[in-house]
Amino acid sequence: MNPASIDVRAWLPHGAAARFVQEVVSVEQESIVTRGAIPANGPFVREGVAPAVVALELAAQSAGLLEAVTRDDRAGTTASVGYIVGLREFSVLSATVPAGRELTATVTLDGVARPLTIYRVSVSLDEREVVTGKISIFTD
Amino acid sequence: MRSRFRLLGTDKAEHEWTFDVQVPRDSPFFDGHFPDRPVLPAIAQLAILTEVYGESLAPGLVIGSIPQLRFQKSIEPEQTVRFHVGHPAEDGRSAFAIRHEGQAMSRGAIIWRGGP
Repeated sequence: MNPASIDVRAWLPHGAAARFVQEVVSVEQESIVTRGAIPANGPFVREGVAPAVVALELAAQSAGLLEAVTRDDRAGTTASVGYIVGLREFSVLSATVPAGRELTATVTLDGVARPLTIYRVSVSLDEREVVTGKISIFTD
Repeated sequence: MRSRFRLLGTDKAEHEWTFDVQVPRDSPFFDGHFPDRPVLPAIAQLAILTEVYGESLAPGLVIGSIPQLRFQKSIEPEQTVRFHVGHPAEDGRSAFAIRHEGQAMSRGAIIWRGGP
């Protein structure tokens, strides 16, 4: 799949204020790499930074994109709403993350038990990991 | 300026801190999440925890890791929820839960790092 052809706004149910993903760098059947940022004018930012744990939202949205564009029975239809329902083995490797700075999320499918999907995720800033671990997403 | 959340009260008991929070319907935490069904994002729960506990009740503590945390029920606009944060053990680990009328909305464990 050509990542440039993926319209992030069309595939994510989030409104603009809550959308962290800006573009898809690469996507395979079971993994995706995206770029994005913590919105600088969003509610998680104070004095230009957000708690680093907030970066996990970029990974969660990336997982939602992977689900949307690769799942056979939904591909080509419409965005579905996914909710973070679990975190495991999750490390937060920085206290804060600057708002508006480019972050890279790498998300790999780890397990599936519909409607639950588990992903291994990592979000980095300037090639340094900010958060890493496993997230569980429940998809409506 | 719109309020992100209201801190309604705090209490320190033998084993834990608790604090009550209400997120107004027009809170920016709900902006875009989701346009047709406002639900408090999981990261907003963690941001409130970081801000109230890590900056005020136990200044200097930040989330170091999350061994396990389940977000079991959606938190909706205007719901009053109670955060429960156990006093950290020597390794920084504390039990964590968010409850609404006695029912667990989220629960798990947090490992804190840093300190005053």
